[in-house]
Amino acid sequence: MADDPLLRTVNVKKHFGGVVALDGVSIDVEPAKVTMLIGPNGSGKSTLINVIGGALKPDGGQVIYGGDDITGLPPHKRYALGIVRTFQVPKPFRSLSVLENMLTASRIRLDDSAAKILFSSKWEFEEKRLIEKAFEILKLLNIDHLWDARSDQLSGGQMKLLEMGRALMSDPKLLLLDEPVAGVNPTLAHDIMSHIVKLRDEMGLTFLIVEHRLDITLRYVDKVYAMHQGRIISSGSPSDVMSDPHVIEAYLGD
Amino acid sequence: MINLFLLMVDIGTMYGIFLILASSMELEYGELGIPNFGKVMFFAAGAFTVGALAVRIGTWLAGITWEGEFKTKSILYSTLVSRYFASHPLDAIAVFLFTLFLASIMGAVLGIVASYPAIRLREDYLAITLIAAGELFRIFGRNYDPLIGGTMGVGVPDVLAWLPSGAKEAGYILLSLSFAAATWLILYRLSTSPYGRTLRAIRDEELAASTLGKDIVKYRMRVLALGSAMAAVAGVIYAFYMGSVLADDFNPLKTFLVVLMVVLGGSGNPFGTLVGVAVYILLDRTLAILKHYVVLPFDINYFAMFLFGVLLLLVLMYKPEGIIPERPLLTVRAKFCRREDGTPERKLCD
Repeated sequence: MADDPLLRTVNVKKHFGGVVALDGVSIDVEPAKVTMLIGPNGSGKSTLINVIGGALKPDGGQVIYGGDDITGLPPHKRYALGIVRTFQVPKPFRSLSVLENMLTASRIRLDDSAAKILFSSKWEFEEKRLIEKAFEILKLLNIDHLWDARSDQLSGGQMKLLEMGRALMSDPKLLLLDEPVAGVNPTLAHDIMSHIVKLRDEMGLTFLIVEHRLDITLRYVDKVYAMHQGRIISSGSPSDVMSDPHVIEAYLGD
Repeated sequence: MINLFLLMVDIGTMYGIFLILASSMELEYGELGIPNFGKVMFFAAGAFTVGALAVRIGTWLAGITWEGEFKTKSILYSTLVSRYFASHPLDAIAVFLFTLFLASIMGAVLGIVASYPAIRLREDYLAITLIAAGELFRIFGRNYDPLIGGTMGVGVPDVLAWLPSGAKEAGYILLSLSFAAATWLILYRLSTSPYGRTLRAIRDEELAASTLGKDIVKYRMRVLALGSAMAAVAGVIYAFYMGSVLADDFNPLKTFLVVLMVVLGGSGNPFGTLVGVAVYILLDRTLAILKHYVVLPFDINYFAMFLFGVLLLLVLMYKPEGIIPERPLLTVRAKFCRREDGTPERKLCD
């Protein structure tokens, strides 16, 4: 634990009406590591991802990224810092093709000015380069044959892959993946997880993953936080957390 | 008997004016998903600018001293100014360009103002707010006489008075269609570019778009500014073509007609806009001509409203995607190769 954490939440609180979703959650996500959040349904994992991604404003506490407080930043500014997320229920841009979904995510912005589009055709060259890049990522995720399909015609698992592809297309530093392998067949799920490990090792990407399929994912991750009723009840290496009686109780008990 | 030439002028000019309006609606609603039910307000902004200024600047240029009330005398003075324009084409063009410039700025500013509720309100509340804002605009124009002559309306001098009869009418078609072509090309170019792709992404999944770095507030504001400036340009051409501006002409029905054209043609597809406007204008003119030949127990104009209402319902029920449905557009027009068996090759074709 020599490195300073890339992302840190400090005592984050969030409630919806009377329901407490996050009750003072503090986690550290270390750079170039895969950190996983586990916990039974309703334990607050997705809410935490939403707070870190900027979709929800916490009622208390702070989100620190690279030493800066980003608690109040809107999602698009977090993207600019390198934080990109996927969604538990996939949100593809449904009227766009798979390829166009990918292109939308690019960090090279060809869409920032209408005037540039109207008075120049430089973007068309840039766009061709981006298409090549998009195809490389699609091939990696095994959905390159679907490049021309409307994204709302994909299966649930394929949509998950597309979301992952979009996130990778944006050259992120920190990826927040909300159930990346849910609905994906086991072989591909293992491929995705190995790929995540590869990105961590080769590119130094940092991952924070929420996942229920522990049988597949646990062996790939560096650190686990277990949540229950809006609190962190255990943290450490995957084997430590899974043998923690609090965690077993949370999954089986009451 | 119907004068075929004047009919063609009317169809051509009105097609151009409504194509500008429908293109701006397609950009805002079809591409970005903002239900701009206040469209008529921005159209009126253009027409009101012309109504309030053209005759005043004209009399000043012509050196005519104004006597009497604006409300009662504007028609008379606009005739005098038209006569002056007949021998001073440069003055006429200057008045046209100046009001056009001012009106598009007015439109853009109003669009930015309208984007504040557009960012904060849910779709249906936004639609209600914009309808109300448009009505407020009309009622203000109707009741504040010095602006555009209140209930009497205002005369607008003829900026093409220097052209011989015949060429003048053709001039209005040309003016209207060339502005329409420019507007539509802007829409088409944006729609088939990364810009349009981002607008659709925001329309489809706002949260996902913002997590992929799109500043939604900025896009809404800029698109409403651009769309509203377009609508104001349509208002300018409409005012000069009609030769007068009457506040009550700018009722919410105008907005509804533009929505009808976009939805009928196929919202989300710029080609649909071209078709939707054509279908509407042709149906509308046919009914107007039929009025002379068919005897009905009621005014056929009301029948037109009934017909368009039913048409919109039928489209929404049986073909909600419109005549030319939206398709995923490849922004780079370079075609992708396909292998013999039809599967796509992962390469751009030359």
